[in-house]
Amino acid sequence: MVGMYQHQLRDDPFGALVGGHCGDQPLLAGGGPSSSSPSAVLAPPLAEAHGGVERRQLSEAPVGGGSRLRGAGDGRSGGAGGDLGALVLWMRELAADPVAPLPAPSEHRPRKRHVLALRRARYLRLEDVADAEELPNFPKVTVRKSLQTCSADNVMGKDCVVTLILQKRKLYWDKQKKKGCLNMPTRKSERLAKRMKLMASLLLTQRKKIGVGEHFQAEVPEWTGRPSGKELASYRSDPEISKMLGTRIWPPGGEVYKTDIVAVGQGRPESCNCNYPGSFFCRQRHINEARDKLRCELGRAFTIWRFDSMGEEVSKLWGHDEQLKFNALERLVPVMDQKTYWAVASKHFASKPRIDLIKYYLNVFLMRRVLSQCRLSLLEIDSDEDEVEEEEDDDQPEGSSSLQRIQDVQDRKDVS
Amino acid sequence: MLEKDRISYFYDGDVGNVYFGPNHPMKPHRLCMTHHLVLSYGLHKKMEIYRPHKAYPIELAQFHSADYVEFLHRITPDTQHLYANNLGEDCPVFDNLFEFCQIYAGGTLDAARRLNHKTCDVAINWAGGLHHAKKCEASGFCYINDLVLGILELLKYHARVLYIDIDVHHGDGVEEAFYFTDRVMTVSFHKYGDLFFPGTGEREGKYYAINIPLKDGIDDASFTRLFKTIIAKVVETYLPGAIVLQCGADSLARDRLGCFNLSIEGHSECVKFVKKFNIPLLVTGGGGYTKENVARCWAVETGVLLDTELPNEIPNNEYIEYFAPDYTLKVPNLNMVPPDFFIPDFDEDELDPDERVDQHTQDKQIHRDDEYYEDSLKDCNEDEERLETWWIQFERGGKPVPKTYIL
Repeated sequence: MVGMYQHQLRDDPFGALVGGHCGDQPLLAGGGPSSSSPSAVLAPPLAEAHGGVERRQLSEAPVGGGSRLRGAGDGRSGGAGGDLGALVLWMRELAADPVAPLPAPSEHRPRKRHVLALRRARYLRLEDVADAEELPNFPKVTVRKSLQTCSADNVMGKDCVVTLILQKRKLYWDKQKKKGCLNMPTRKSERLAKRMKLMASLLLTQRKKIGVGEHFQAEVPEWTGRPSGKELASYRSDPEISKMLGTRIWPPGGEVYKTDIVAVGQGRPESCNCNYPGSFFCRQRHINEARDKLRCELGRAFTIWRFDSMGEEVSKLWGHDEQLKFNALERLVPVMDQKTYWAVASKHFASKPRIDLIKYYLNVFLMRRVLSQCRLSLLEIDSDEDEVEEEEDDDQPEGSSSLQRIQDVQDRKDVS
Repeated sequence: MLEKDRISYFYDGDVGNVYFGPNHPMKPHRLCMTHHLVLSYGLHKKMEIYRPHKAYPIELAQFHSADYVEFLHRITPDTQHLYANNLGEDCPVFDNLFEFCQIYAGGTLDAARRLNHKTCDVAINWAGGLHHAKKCEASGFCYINDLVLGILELLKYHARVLYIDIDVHHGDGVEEAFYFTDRVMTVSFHKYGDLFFPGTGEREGKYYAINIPLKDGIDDASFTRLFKTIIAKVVETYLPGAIVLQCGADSLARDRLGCFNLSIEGHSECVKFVKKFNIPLLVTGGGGYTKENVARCWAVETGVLLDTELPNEIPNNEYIEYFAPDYTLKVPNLNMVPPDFFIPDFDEDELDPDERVDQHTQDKQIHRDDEYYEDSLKDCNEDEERLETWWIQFERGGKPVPKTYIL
């Protein structure tokens, strides 16, 4: 599980995350030019690079610390971000009473962003990055020299780390190419690494070493020998424990399940007797048949497992006029992507509980998208509803959006 | 008299509608698709299916700090608690977050208790396996570490528990929790390098934590050979009373975040192998970010645990369109990740000769990694010997297993 899309989380319709609006100063380190702005605010402590100095600055009276940084930032930081001391004070107030009502969104959102950027920068120290043993593929000498030059140029240390790793890799590949090795495309993990804007700082804020101490290890009691038959029996008959064993849903009632069932694991039959086998209607009919069969067989379990709110059936749970409204909106946007869906949902269906919107999204919206891809007879279904990822290499377009796919197919059709 | 294994399977219908948020790769909806596929193949006829109870906060606090559990319980997307305990970015705060944690943790806990009760031989909880969560903080989309909780439960009735992790990411949460005890041995196969998350899993292996750091693009043959050799030796030497297997599906080819080239056959081969030991087994899910491949993989592995081979043609079901255009379980191998060629990771002279080096790293000094991929079966015997010597070193150099633990 990877942490690498902070920059993608900028636009969240729920408004719950640290959202960013285009107009505001993007202090999240995304993109080339803007990445220098956090450094404008925070580079001076880094250039000094020594934890002790930083800590003292932060814990001192706000005025001293704040003005120092404000001075260093050459106006590019802008917005509400200049005053570090005020930020710390704000955070302290927050921590003292976390459930207090929210201040105005316009005020706390930029603050939120600044805090995150500060956290990242604060825990990124040059000597950590320069500790070559911790980073793979990193000869010690190269690191120290280059990082020093980096800091002198006032560029964020983390970008340097990334560039260095990739430079080293590139040099190696160039050498290999000269030796006549195969021209290999870049490896996936490298592409993933390149895409991560905040990689190095992430690695450091995620503890790289295994933690040691009472805050990290579990408490494991000593083994005192196998429990006696009596103890086992009492463990098994303890009513408290019985509540924590799960409720049997299948097989229902008192039936004992048979392990020697023959007809388990049947696949899709080879042919069907529809008028137009393989057509959309044929498939729909078979899906409906399968659902009905399952409903008969499972009985109550069908509802317990929420099979009644899966797939296209979910659209029937919406009121008729709501469905019409949604369909009408869908027609306005030719290929609605998930961003638009949530924008539409929060605007026009704000009264509906979120769980209904989610169910609709997962079962109806996404399914219809997949279906439309099917109809266009694409080579591979791209169930990934997320935004286009910028792939730098020119092999298979694994990250392209459905829009791109449709365009590709149409191009292919035009050519043929 | 060889009785067939009894399998208990845990699923809660509410877990499939959990939504992490737009653009987040973790999609619990894949659990819904998996369950649906399992049922469409009729596998429910061969096992018992339970709805887990929602784990109580006090159960979660068996491992996690009480403060952290309380914190998770209280936060909502609207409150301001977004900066503590690593929440807010990778681990977003969404509606019914705590309930989600209770469901997946409850599943693993119930599974462990049923195994303790000996009412089943294998217990499955595909919703679980969130191995990055730490005692006091969330990490890598994991909030509560259900694996640690399950293992703690198993430790009440077994002297030793073996934890195996085939997720493409290092099982750092579990390793950290049990780092200093010899009652749990953790073995993790994962990608390491290129600053791949979480960044641990190369040097930490010590005592009862074994790490197998791998490069991009490892294929079925190499992976299963490594897996079988290592796990066979571990089980033979450690003699666990129970095994917990985390089957993260992001080690499959074409996973959105992963970078291995395993096929479903290769992945399920590992599950098959572990099952053969006939030791009480708890199987969980984990990573897996290409929904339809996750569903395929875990359905096949449910079949494997039930000794049923599933036909390639996917039966008609609600989500069948996700499996277009072929509608089959086996997918043709397109878009494979190019395997990583030999790049010197370390300066041999600078290695501490006393530090025990994992077999794979030792092999790298002799053998380019790509040679594994091309003609992997050639040097089988040689590798066996090398592994044997390494194991002898391990037994001598590592903490000896106390005599009282061996039955």
